[in-house]
Amino acid sequence: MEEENMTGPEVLFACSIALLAIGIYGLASKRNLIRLIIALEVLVNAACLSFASFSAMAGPGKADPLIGVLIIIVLAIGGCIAAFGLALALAIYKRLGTVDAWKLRRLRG
Amino acid sequence: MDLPHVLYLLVAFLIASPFIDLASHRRGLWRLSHAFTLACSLACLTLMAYSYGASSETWPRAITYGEFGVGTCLLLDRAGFFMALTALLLSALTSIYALGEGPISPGYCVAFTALMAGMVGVSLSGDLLTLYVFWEIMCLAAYALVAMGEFKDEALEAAWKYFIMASAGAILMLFGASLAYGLAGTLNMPLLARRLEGASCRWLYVALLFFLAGMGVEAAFFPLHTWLPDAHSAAPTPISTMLSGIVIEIGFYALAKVMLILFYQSAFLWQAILASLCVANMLVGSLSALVQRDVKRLLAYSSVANMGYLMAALSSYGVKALSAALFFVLSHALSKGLAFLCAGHMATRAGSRDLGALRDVRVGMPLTTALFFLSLLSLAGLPGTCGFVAKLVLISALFLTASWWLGVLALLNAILMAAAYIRVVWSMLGSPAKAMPRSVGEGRLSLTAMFLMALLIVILGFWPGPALRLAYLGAMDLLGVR
Repeated sequence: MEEENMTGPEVLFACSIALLAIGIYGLASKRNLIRLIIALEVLVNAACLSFASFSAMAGPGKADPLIGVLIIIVLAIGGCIAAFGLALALAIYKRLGTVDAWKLRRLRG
Repeated sequence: MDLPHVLYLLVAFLIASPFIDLASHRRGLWRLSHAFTLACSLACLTLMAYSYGASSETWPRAITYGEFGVGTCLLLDRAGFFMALTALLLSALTSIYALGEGPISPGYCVAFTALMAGMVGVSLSGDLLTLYVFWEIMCLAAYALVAMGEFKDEALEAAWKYFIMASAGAILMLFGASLAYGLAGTLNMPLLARRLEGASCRWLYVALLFFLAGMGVEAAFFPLHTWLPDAHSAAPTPISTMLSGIVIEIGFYALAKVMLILFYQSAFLWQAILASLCVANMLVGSLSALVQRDVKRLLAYSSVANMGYLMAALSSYGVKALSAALFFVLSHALSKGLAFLCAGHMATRAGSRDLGALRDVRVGMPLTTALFFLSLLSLAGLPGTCGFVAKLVLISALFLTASWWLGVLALLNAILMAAAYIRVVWSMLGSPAKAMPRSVGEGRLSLTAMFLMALLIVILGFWPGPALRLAYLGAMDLLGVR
């Protein structure tokens, strides 16, 4: 096989690395609480995609069933994270009247 | 009856907890939720002690669900048993304290039970999927509990900071797990250990860094510790106790397990990273603690510094240092737990966490003050308390390893931390600025919980033998999985 032709799973893995980079960039640069939650969800998807790509590398029809289970569970946990984050963001908005993370600066590290 | 039954029992309690929580919202029934968490932790403690005494099988052993290497599994070792025991003991004592104080918030009972289940699950998990699931249960419960703090604005902000940092960390850890899966084709820890033996490739080191960065957030490693002082000071007092006393240590234990089992072949790398981070943790923690006016923030920074001791022990990874680290976790859970309970007890009465406000209520609460001083002395390592034994064993174990300079460092850090605690005692012994206008009472149940903790601190100070032996067996198991 030629060097520049990646197989399907390898493309998937490259995509997951890209998603990881996007998620970390989002976490580092965004101020809006909702956007931060979206960045977390992108990170969850990056991890799932990475698992899927490694599972697919075993060949067609040989994918690990545990990974299928894992992806479903992780997506459910991702849903929990999003739900909790949105509830917290709502509480912060009601209480402090802002969804800007940079305005939450009363506490210092 | 075996150790997994403790986990099943906790999950059963977790399913029952929402109903108890709903019932406890009725007028006058708030004690129900605290009584439930107390009953839950006591039942699990009893079952745990019984299953340890009854089982005659070999340690460590794996309990598999489904085919070995394909399904999930629990890894039962005495180190995990020790951590889970400490977690449940602290939960029971904290629940007694909370019972004497007052209602906290709707949902407290569910979140606290989930926190316990998460901690026991993380200590017993044997594959990376189980570890991740219980890790998230523990973390989500902890964020919710921090958000229930007394001063709402501050608590919400601290919970948000904790949520974003620790969630991102957990997902990075999961990404690391996916890389480990890609390298070895399994998530089962003993199997991963066998397949990764002698491996050395770039992706292995990348996976290691992902695990370190991800779990390091929860375990408060130096550049990632910034959420800790906020979250631990803003949380309600029983929750500060749990978070500082055991949750970060459970995070550290999971990290130690992954490093010692999966990444044993690249020990040179994580050893160097942990040794350098431990210097930073000790310095940042103790120097920040020296200048704090807020007593709960001071104790939180002291936890950052104390994580440095554990990192030093892990980076030397000898069996003596690891067993000392396990005993240190027990001692720290009791001492720091007692310190947080007393400080929170006084701060609630004073209406402020400032050291000066604590001095004002000191006259009205002589017993709490005395117990607070005892806990600070144990944290500083005065002979006769368990803190002394823990520091003695840990530092002497460090001196015996190749990285003896970590022992010197730990000794210097102990002196710095002692200065911070003496400053607290000194500033509280001064004469009160003003007499307290209202009468300050000390809750009888809260005092009972504190007395029990103080008793354990003194007993372990004079008679540490059994606990040390269990810690030694735990460290043997932890190193013997491979």
